Amino acid sequence: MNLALQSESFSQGNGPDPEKGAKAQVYPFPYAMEIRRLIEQERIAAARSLLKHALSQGSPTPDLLQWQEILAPARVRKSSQLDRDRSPEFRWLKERGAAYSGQWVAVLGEELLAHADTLKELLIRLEEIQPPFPPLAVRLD
Amino acid sequence: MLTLHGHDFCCSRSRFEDQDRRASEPTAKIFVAIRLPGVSTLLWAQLDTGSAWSVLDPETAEAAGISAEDGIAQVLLTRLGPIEGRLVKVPITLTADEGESLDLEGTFFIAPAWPPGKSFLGYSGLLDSIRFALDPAANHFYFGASEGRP
Repeated sequence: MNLALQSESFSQGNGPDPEKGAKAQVYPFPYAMEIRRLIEQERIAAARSLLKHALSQGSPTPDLLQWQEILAPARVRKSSQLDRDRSPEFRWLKERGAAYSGQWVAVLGEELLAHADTLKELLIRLEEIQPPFPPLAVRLD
Repeated sequence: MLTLHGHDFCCSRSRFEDQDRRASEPTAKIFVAIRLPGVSTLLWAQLDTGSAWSVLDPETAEAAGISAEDGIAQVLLTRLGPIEGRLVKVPITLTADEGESLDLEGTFFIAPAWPPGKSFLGYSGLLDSIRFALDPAANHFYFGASEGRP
């Protein structure tokens, strides 16, 4: 890995080809492919390090720029949007949720507002009801 | 009040649920409420620091209008086996009952084969970008932006 990181490019084969001589084709190091492999192995820190190195080589490819966005830390900002204590909803789910196994439920306080097989259907039903405060939507298994 | 580098440790608190009646496993899981733009309800997401990525279940992604063409195609090895999906930046709100909520744009894995209703807040690109703590005795989830980080 260290050797690969130190090279910007590699040639096909294991060494100089006497027949091709100086005309051996040189390929750019496949950074994006290697980052993808590291991500698949959940080696996120190694993927970030390799990306940083790749970007330091200049002229980043579009896929490297995409990885740069995906591997970046989350953007965080404070919001004035406040919720309220959802203990009543949690209580309802504990005490009565079993009856709605396999469905999405929308609960506000200790009241079931709607239930449906899919979240999409649930949201349509809630649009008709227009609850005064956002309910909690949960799919129960 | 504990401070870190002269700043308050966090600014937000919400209650979490730690009994998952939905799961066949006996161990308790921690669920916190989140909001997504375009979705009129709060949704539950499991807090999972052991998960490399956050996961948004496909029904929730569709409701939030997140396109299947967004992001980068990727295979991830999950407890359900290898799953094809996409890594996508998704805006969410970690809602607070007290203090201030946080708007985050984090990286989520979205896969059509993922079971509906099972969303996770994982470590990379989301939890590693904020400060958080749990009070299991009171079921309180404390969180805040990582202000004052040297």
